[in-house]
Amino acid sequence: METLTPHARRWLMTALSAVLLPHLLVLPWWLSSFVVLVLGLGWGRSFAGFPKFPGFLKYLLFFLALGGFFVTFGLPSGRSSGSALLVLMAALKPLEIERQKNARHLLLLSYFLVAAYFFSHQEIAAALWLFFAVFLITSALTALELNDEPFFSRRLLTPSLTLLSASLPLALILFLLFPRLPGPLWSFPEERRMAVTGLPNELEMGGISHLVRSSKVALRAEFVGPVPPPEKLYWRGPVFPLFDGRTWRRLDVSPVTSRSGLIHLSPLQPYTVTLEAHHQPWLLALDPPFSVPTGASFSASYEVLLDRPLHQLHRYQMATAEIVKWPAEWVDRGGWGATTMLLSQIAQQRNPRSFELARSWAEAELGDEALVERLLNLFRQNPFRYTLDPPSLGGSGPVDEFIFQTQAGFCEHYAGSAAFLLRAAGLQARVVAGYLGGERHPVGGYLIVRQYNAHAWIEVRIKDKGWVRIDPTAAVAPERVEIGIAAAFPESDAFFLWREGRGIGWLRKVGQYRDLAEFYWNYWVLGYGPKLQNLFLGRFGLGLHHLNLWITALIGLPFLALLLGLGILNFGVFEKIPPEVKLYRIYCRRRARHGCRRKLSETPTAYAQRLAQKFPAEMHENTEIAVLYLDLRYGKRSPGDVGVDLKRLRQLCRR
Amino acid sequence: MTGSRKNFVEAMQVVNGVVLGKKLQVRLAFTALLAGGHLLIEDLPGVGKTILVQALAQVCGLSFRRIQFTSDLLPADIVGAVVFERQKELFTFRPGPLFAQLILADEVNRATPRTQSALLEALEEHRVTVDGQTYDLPEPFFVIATQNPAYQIGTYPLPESQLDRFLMRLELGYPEAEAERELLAGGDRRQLLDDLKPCLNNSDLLQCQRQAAALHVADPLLDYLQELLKRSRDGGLFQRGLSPRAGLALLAAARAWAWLDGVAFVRPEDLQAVFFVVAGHRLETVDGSDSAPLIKQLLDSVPLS
Repeated sequence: METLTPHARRWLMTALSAVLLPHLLVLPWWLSSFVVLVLGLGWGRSFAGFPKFPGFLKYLLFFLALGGFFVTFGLPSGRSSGSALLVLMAALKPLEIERQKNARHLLLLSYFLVAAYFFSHQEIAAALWLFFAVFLITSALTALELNDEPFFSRRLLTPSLTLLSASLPLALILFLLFPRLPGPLWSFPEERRMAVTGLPNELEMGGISHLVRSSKVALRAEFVGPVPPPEKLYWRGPVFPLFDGRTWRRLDVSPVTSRSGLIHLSPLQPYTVTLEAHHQPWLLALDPPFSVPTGASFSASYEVLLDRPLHQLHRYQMATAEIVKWPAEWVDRGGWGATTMLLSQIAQQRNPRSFELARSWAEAELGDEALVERLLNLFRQNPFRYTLDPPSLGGSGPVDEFIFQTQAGFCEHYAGSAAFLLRAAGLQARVVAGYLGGERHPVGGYLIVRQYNAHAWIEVRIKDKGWVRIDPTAAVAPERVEIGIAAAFPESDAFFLWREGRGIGWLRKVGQYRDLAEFYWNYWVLGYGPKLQNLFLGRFGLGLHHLNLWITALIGLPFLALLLGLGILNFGVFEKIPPEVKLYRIYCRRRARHGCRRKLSETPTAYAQRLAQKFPAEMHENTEIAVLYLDLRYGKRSPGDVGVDLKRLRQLCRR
Repeated sequence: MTGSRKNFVEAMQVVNGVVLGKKLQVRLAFTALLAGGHLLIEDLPGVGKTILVQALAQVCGLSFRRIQFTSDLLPADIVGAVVFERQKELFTFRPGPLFAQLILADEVNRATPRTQSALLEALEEHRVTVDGQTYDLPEPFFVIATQNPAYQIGTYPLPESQLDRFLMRLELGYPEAEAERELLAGGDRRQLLDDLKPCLNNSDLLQCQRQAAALHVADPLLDYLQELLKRSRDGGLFQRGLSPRAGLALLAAARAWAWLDGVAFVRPEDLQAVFFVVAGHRLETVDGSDSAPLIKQLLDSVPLS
């Protein structure tokens, strides 16, 4: 039971600090500061003269940590609370470690902590950090064994570097070859998510404008042909048919299985989307979507839905067409039913003035399309403003408040009010959230859609035409639709200037290459699923359809590895063979080809004599080889004086 | 060639001139002498055991005693006894025949175990203890014991533990026709023996022994030796494997054998050359049959590189 030296403790603390660092960025701030404090105490212990921690202090810190944890997370369930608990306890552990053995355990646990961070964060930076952390942990383990080595020494760092680089090819092979499963092997319990940026599940006035402050990537899309113009890039997300006067909600409609009657009347345009995890079941698709990717289906309100929320980066293929004819059944259901009607009444009571206005339009008995035009004119002819900072709508009737008082809003204000007004006028209308536009990557050629591209519009059912997309925002700020979000706010916000790197050329370049790297990382590393693996292996004729081969390999490979391992242990495969033995073996192999094989236990002298009988012409050569070999292998030699003889032996044996 | 080695090889050649056609056995006998071990010769009477031993003693300049073992021989008969000298009025130790440099213990298996033990103890310790007093035997001290395998009635075959004390066991065998003819045609062997001049003195011999014991043994050779020992133990060929003492004996004999060739280090063939005679009497087959084929099998099965 060896005690931990201060030197080894410093290594332990180095590795542990590196492991915990990224976790600190994720934890609530006060837990992070607690971890920093405790780590500081652990560091202090590694310097001479620092006293051992008294037991009561350890208990105090322990219960503080535990209490804080329960206050923040409740009972541990799910990934983030689980790893938070682990982080807290790992930070506390060095305070009580006095022995090498315990330090070793903590370091082994650190490997898991590194992996635990990867459960939730899979960016390139996280991967780079992973390598560094694993290197430090391995070095710390080495430091435990080499007690008196200086902090940075070759003897200490070389083994971990060697191990790490030796394991890379194996990791690569496993990554490429190990069969990929379509979904995760186990599912983590659902958990409360904090601060997820993305389209909301419910839409309130002001529910989207906060997204515009985020430049996080929402999705990337690759097109086979040219990228469509900005005004056609309506990325359709969740659809909200239900409105209670304040909040728009989605309708949980079961997916539509039959797609008969869905036809496209213009050429199909296929594209591929890499969607960031947004923890919601819907996929984003260009409006109108025509096909669904595997694992997803259409809902009656024409959303593309997965059967579970999307917790990982997802890559899927879709197709769109300019003109799509929907099945009549979809048009009829469309999220329209008794609930919708009931809630509409509540909404009308909450917003009486707008309701009255819409009723007055309905009494004029215009056609459906004229009604829509009337609505858009309302926005055009009155001093409505498109703004990122709309005044908050506190009252019970936000539509009334917006139309008649503030007249300043973001897209969801216009969409929400428009849908309400059209409904009041007797039409069927619903709000759709999604993204509009995107920016083309100059190098990668793909389209990047960020959170600040978030948008909301409406769909109206028009007689003989079905559901038609109307964008009320276009009536107020057409440049938002035609050019992009930055054009809509030319001078108001420095955010977009900065984000898009206008005026700072190199910053823009750096940003672009960063995004390109991320794109390939997403595609090749995170997106390496069964499909991509099949594609990749297919190039070598090893597709997953060779199921038998795979099963054999999966069972056979570990077995083979086991045998190999045993073989190495037993027969010393990696035993260092001296050069003279190598040469002599070559010599024996060559003579064996001439029909005179050396027996297992035959001495070089005896073999040379036997050879001399068979090939009298080569007698001198064979004798010289035997003498030289015996002398090199069994003679008394200092390493310095073998050179000449070895050279001679090489000459003779290679001849 | 060092002076002492030259004399030693010359002595060996002289013995070869007396004991005809037994070059290998003569060399092995000299190897045993050189390695400081004792020799057990197992053969029928009349094949030249005594001649060999006497010639050896003669050319090496060793004082020679022959002890004929019989069933009534007592330990005191070989070791010596304390007797009372009346004139001086004190007890003095009168050394037995064991106090010589070369002992021929003839037909050692006819003596009782008690007497055998007395001999073997001296073999191992190079000294005897009588009445609590220890007496060193002369140096060099070399015992050649003979056993007669033909007459087993009324004999006490040496137990294995005691066989282990002999460095090697030799069989002389009948001479080949040519050598026998020369023997028959030649003069009196006794006369020949008497005419032999010593080629070495004691200090020469001791120096040779020291040189041989210091011969270089490389790691690969020790690997090979260890592998041989290991196979003898877990190969299932023998009742029990070679002891560590057998390993040391093999190494000493191999060194002496190599030294006779005048090489600077021990080669694997040196080890193989002495392996039969050193290991032969220490290994017993499971069914009690002749161990030689199995020893050959053992040697062949261990790879040499």
